Amino acid sequence: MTIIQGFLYVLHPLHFPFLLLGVVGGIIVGAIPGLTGSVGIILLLPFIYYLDASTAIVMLCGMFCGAMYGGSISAILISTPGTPSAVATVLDGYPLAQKGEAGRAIGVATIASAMGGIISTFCLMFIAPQLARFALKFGPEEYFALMIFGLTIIASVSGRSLVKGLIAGFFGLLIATVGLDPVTGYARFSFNIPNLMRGFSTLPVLIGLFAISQIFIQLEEKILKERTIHPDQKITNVLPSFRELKRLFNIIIPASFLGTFIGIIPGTGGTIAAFLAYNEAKRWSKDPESFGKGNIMGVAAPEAANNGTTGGAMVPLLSLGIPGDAVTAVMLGALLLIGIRPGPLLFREHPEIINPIFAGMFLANVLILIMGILSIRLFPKILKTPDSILFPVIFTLCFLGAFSLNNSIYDMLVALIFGIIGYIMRKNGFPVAPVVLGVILGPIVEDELGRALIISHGNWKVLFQSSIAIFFYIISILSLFYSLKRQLPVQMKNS
Amino acid sequence: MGGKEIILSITFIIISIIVFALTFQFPHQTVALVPTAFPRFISISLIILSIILLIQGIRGITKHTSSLKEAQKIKSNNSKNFFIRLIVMMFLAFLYTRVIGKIGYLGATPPFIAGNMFLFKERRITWIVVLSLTITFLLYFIFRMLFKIPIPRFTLF
Repeated sequence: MTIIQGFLYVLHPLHFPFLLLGVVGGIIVGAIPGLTGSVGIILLLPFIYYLDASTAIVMLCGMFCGAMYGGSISAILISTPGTPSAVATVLDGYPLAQKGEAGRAIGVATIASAMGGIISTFCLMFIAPQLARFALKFGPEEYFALMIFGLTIIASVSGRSLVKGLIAGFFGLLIATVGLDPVTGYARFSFNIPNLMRGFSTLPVLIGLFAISQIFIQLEEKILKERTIHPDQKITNVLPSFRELKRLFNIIIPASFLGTFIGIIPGTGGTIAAFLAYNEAKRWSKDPESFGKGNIMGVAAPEAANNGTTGGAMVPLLSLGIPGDAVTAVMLGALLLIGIRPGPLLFREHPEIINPIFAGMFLANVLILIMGILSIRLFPKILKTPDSILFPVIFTLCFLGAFSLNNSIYDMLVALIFGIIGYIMRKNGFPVAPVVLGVILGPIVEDELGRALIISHGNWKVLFQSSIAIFFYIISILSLFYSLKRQLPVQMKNS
Repeated sequence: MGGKEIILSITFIIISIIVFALTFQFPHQTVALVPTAFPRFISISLIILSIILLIQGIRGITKHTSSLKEAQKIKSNNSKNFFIRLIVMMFLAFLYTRVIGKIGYLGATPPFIAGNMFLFKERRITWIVVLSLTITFLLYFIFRMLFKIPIPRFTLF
């Protein structure tokens, strides 16, 4: 299937509404503080499970891109980023809103996000197939080393404490060992309970750790700190002038490429890209003192960069099967659930879904531009949705989603238990993204290790005989050291 | 900081020891990768990491003992209020998972939504009743009629 056929597929009346739904849902989810792209993707899972793979992935991509943009809306209007990647947008977006220029800020954020996403999609289209072609040479020992590298991303998404992040990651690996051993088929830790013999399904674990735990946190926010919504913002002068647009492109284009290449590096993500782009925009500005006081470049740069990471993060996800950040870790879980295993074989075994993905990512960003500009005056209303309606609905959706996978009440209970576990972990500084990485990648690591050892008749040296595998071990160690080096000054300051 | 790390690290150590001990019940197999290998590696790694966290927790407690005592003196009514609501919410959710399989989605969901709306400080009773029923039927329509996604059914009789 060529790229033109990919576009025709996505634009077909039977498939396009799902992309549109994904983008609109993503914008809404991203705009509401307390909900993130991860939660949006998780809530979408029960619906995409019954769609064909291409439509399902296109809808997920729409949600991913939409949520990344949606975070800027609340960042600008109420100084609260809807998603972590919009934190940098608050710095200049909110001061602009305070000056009565909320419309201009959101308009520029929309254009920057769309451009960032489109540029990163082009990069995805060129880089991913080449990387996948290289990765086709991988055997089980190379895959094992690659998954070890994927697991070291745990350290990168650990937040403030490397030790807590690693504990969370190993806890995820431990959860994944419940059920049938992938090599011998022995039922581990099942205690002769039939439900435990099949282990914990990824979807209820994801729903619990991300979505249900977030609901408990939102209850705490509601009771302990009442969230205040800014009074009605007047949304005017949305579209910048041609002259201003030309000036903005000087920052949007480099920021988009920066975001794309940051996104390709596993363990980074939109937040890092946004801050880097913000810092560079300030550094190269003729008026750096105006940053933080309502400089429109301080909105354009981070928004172009954070949406630039969407295409970039899809590169390692699609071509190698390792997630670029926490949101793509959830995407990986979602893809595995619908029967698609990302990796180099994806391009060989499912070529019919690759071009729709490219077309879907491109069109999602075009839709962000159109929807963002057209519905900009509705955004303050989205933020006024009462928590007392929103979160009970999400709670119900979580349980329905958990049930729908296997028609199992047991999965609803699993989701609740992991929701409680996730809440306790998050309250005590343990990040949940590493748990998800452990749950998803753990079985793959064990499976590839088992295969490598079977082929080599139990010779462990086979894991170190491939130069590609050694390369991944080296960058895994470097990744861990880099994370440790990044976190040591913070830990020393805390102690 | 400190006390919580100690409790959690001890919890993880206990879990890891139990997991390691349980692996001795697995049958002995002569294959390249035995079923015990991965769980043992994970539990040993967890024990080591938990000990590091325990040490960090103890260091945190000894350094911040005085400030910790000050912080503990401040008890807010809001915290107590929140804790009660949290427990009620968890219990409500647990009850929901237990009854939905018996009385079905349409029977169990309106009180579940209503209860959660109340916990999220909604006090208009008419609003609670109307919205909980509307949302229940709306979600039923979306899941069952539109997307044909199965939802729990009434199974009592």
